[in-house]
Amino acid sequence: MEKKQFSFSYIVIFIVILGLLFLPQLFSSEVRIKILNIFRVPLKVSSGIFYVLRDVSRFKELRDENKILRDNLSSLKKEMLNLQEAGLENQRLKDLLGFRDKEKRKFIPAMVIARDPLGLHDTIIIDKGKRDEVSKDMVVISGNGLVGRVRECGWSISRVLLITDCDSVLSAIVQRTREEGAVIGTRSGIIMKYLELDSSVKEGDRVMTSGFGDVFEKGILIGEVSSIEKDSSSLYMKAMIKPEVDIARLEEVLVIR
Amino acid sequence: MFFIWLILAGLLQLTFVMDLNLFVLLAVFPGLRKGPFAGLLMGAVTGIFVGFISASHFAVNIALYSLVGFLSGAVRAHIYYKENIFMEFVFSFCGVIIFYSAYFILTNTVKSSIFSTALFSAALSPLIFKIVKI
Repeated sequence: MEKKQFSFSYIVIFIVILGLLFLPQLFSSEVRIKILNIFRVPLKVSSGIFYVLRDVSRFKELRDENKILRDNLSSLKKEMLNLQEAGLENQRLKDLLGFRDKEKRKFIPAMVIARDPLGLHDTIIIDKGKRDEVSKDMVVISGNGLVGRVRECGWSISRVLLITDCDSVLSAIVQRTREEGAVIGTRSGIIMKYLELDSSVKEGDRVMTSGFGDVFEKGILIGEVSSIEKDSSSLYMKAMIKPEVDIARLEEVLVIR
Repeated sequence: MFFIWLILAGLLQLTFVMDLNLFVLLAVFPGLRKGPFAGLLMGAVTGIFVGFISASHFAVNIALYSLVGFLSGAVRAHIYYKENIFMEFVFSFCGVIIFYSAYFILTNTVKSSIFSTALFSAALSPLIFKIVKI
């Protein structure tokens, strides 16, 4: 009887080892996202419940926020009128000079329906996929700021790698000084590395995507410099960046097509 | 029935931003109740499921959940174990700590609040074990 139990144990261990060796090859990231796609509807329902519960608990905060936004709205309306005037003037001048407009970007609105279950990676799942013409490496934004890029794409859901994830690296530029660097995600936030030692970057400077590389187009706002210090190697400066988007509270995003 | 709990745990972990790891509890439970090999097997199943739904390393998930399930059963078999809330708390707490520590060693990826995750998960373990037992 004991011998039988032992042989069963060996079989189980053997199967687990085989699984460890071959399953990752069998189930590539594409297969995994397809399997996760099955859970799209229950995920949408449970995330909907979560957002409602969260909004109810933040009722007072939302009411105050609503009041501030209403105040801001009137001043923004005035500003919009001025900008419309400037836009018309800009168009007339462009026509005069024979400038051609760039192809206009298209946005696909998507809802955040899930996050990484273990809290080890900064990724989100959105409810748009290949069916909605979303594809790998498309840029994801929210409001004015950069959120990340599509990492895996299923039929009706996609996994987005956030800019705060440790695997996220992108080329960036400081808006005021035009200095370039690499924006890297860390567990404690995002950092802009490889700024020169005599860099004039200061707190409050805005950091945007530089457009180098194939993924991120130029001019998407990443965030503001919150502090700047020498790197531990003392070969360059690094700037801590406060992301423009509140990554922890993302509910809706826009995928740039 | 185990698969239903696994899917429910998956939906909760994916949607609600919580300092919890319900999957470790689902790997510890069979180890405590049925022994190390049941823990190993169910841990492997849990690891495969987590591999599908998360962006983390597939093989590392299978290995670590199997390890946690196996260890809970093996340790339980070699010590005086009385089924009570305290023991469930201790096993679950250690399970979460072992999981995240080993994950860090293997992949250099660290979770910011391991201790609180372990504490909350362990605090919830008696309730989860009771539900899963039914």
